[in-house]
Amino acid sequence: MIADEQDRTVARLRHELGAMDVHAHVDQVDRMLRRVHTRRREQRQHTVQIVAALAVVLIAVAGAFVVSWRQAEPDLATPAAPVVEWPMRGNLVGDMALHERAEALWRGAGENGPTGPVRTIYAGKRVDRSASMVVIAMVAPMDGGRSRVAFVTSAVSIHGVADETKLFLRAVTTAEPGQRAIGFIAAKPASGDEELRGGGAVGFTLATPGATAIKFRSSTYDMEFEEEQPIEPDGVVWLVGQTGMAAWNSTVQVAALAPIAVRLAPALTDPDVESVTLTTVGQTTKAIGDVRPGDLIVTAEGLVGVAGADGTVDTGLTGLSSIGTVQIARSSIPGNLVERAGVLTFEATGPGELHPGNRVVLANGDLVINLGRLGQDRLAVERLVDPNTVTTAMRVRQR
Amino acid sequence: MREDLDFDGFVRERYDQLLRYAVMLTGRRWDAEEVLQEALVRCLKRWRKVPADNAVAYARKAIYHEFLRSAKRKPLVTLDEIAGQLDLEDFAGAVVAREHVLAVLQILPPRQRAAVVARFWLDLTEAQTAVELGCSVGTVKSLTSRGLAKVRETWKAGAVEHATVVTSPGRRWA
Repeated sequence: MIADEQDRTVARLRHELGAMDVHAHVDQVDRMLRRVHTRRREQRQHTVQIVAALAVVLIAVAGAFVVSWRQAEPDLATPAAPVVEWPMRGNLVGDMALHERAEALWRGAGENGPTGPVRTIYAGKRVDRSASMVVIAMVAPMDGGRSRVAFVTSAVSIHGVADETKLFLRAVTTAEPGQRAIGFIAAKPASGDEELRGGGAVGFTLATPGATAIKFRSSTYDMEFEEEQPIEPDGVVWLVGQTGMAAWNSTVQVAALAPIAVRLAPALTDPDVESVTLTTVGQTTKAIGDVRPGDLIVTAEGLVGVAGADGTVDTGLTGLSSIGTVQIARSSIPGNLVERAGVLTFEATGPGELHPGNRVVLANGDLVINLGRLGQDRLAVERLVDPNTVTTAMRVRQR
Repeated sequence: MREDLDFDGFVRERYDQLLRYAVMLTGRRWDAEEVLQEALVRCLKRWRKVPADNAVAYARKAIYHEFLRSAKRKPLVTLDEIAGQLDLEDFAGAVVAREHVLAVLQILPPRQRAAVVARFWLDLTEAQTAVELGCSVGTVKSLTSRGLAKVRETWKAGAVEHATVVTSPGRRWA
């Protein structure tokens, strides 16, 4: 290259590179930071799981010499004991004053409180850099082998301080007969909770005695998330997940002959979630259970429909604007779902670039529920839940 | 905890600068954000060991290595392909898409592109560029020379053809 031509090229390069400007809005930086912290948390968890898995393999190999004559894995074959019969576990089981305070709190919780005897099945403290908390899990027997379950906790701390002197009722739920795990997810901080670094949800799962691992699954807004997590010796798996993880989009499974997804309770500060049964006759889908008009009927994968009179579920996705904002999950590009020549289509009403595979969600404050996914043409929307195939679901109601 | 706070503060302060570097390497903001995210995760992993006075260079290196990793998965594109993906409204004094500096950079192989950006945007010396890219000074000279030659040829050809590519008005970078 001739020297002056090279000089001109260099000068033009310097000029044009210097003139190029790229700016990010502060929200975009915040979103990036949240994603970075979430990815890092996931990497840490993954590392812990690998170490735990190696330990399990070593123990299993060693144990095989001792128990090689045994034909079946007891955990897989043994039906789960009723929740009310689970042993008391946790590193605070000896603190009777703590149990009494927790029980008094639950009993004073009005319609969320128990009737009859109450038993503590877990009392423990987790101290960790990401989230520290005290949890007391209590059960009260109900009719039909079911149990009322309450989780009294301290506030969440990100500074390693779980103050067991300041407790409150975090969540209540009902455990079905044979249920192999109980737990809750707090999708957003309650009053007094410190927000996780980079945002996110906290949760707690207590598994049936003898179980060794749970499979936690969430369809939260920007990723399919499914991973097996080892259960700690006291029966617990603490959950620290990304923003958006919530009771209405997450389940756990404990290894069993027929794994059944267990619903986690929402925190009392999150929208209310209860199980419902769906029946479809002809073109009509009905939700059976504690259902009111306006309730959202969902599975952990996404929206089934909106409950109307008599539990009838409107399974159409084109009239949701009165309930929340239809938008792309990650980029928050707003839009509408419309039928175009019989095809469910996303019409953007705001700026932004759509990509095949983008998830379309219904957002109402912290409540974000999957609707579908953009196809290759970036317009047609593939629905994530087929209402005709769902028989058990959840109803979600803003409190 | 402190290091997390420091890390967040660093990212907030330097985000535009790091993103711009990633855009120059990848050519598209969408790809740049992906590369930047993975690079920042790597930085966060070793944040305690990152010297405070050299954090930007450390982050740039992480971006460069992440860019090389991502580039292995993507074929080189033609000038017309990359030009069609640009939105010129974002850049002051933009020329036609095929001659835009981002489009021209995209036809260079990844290491040549990084060398050109390091020398003529970051204004690093050949020795500093060698440290930045983890190669010898001789390699930097060779990469820069070949990169410059390709850029010059492309611009020269563009000036002859007066080619104009109209980009999609719907595409936005921000």
